[in-house]
Amino acid sequence: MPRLKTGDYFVILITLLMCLFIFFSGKFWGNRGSESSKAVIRVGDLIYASYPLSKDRTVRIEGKGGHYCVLRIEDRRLDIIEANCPDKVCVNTPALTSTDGALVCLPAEILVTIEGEEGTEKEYDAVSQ
Amino acid sequence: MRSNKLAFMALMLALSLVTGYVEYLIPIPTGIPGIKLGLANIVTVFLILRGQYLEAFWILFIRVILSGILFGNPVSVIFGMTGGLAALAIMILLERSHIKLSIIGVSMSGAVVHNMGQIMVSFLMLGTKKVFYYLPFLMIAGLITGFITGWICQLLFERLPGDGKFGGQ
Repeated sequence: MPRLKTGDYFVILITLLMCLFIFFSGKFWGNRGSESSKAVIRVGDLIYASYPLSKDRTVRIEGKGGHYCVLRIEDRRLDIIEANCPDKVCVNTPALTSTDGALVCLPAEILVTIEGEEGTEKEYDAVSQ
Repeated sequence: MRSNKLAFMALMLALSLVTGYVEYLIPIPTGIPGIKLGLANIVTVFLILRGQYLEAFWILFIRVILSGILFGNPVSVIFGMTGGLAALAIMILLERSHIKLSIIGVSMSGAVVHNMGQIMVSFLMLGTKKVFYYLPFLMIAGLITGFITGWICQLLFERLPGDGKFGGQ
């Protein structure tokens, strides 16, 4: 029932090609991390906390504007299991297992990522073992 | 402006506001952050197809601001505005060009560009390249949602009097 013209198929083709290109360019490929991988939590511009993935734990992150997220570190995976933001986008994002992607809560300005050996250039505000 | 046109524009704005809200009732279980059906853009695409580019811009602009205020999510205004304006620009360019595109192709292009714009804004706001990991998924989602939106628009045009260009507005 939808009436498609030739140009439409090109749109689909070009978009898919761009996807494949981005996906395989390797630039944004992460890795599952080694023994030194850590979960890095940022609130705004500062690093709020950092935890090694080797130990399971649950962390409550206080973000901006009174918003919080609860992060669960388990089996070297990161997942936000609870948050008081209106959208709950952060809760519905699938768990992080590699240095790709990030868990984000925009109203709270919370950003959670996995970092491997590279580390970061910023000073840590707090590091927990 | 003529009262006909004022009423028509008010209708378009109300429609796009309500569809933008109602689509939250339809859960999209892809798990990718920020995926929406974008049904509010049926109105945007509809107006572009009628050649009312300026009106499409204003309805989009006002709708993004109003829904940010009404539905209590100020962050969404930034994302909606950049994605929406970028999509609008591309769709107008494509519609006016001589490329053989149906409204579905125009709508798909708009949706893909919209999602790319949102990733770009995420990158600027969060300062990490890791958000680009979601780009391929969002582009494909754009193809699908753009297809749905464009198809609905096509169906509307078939069923409205004057083949969509009704009332002289």
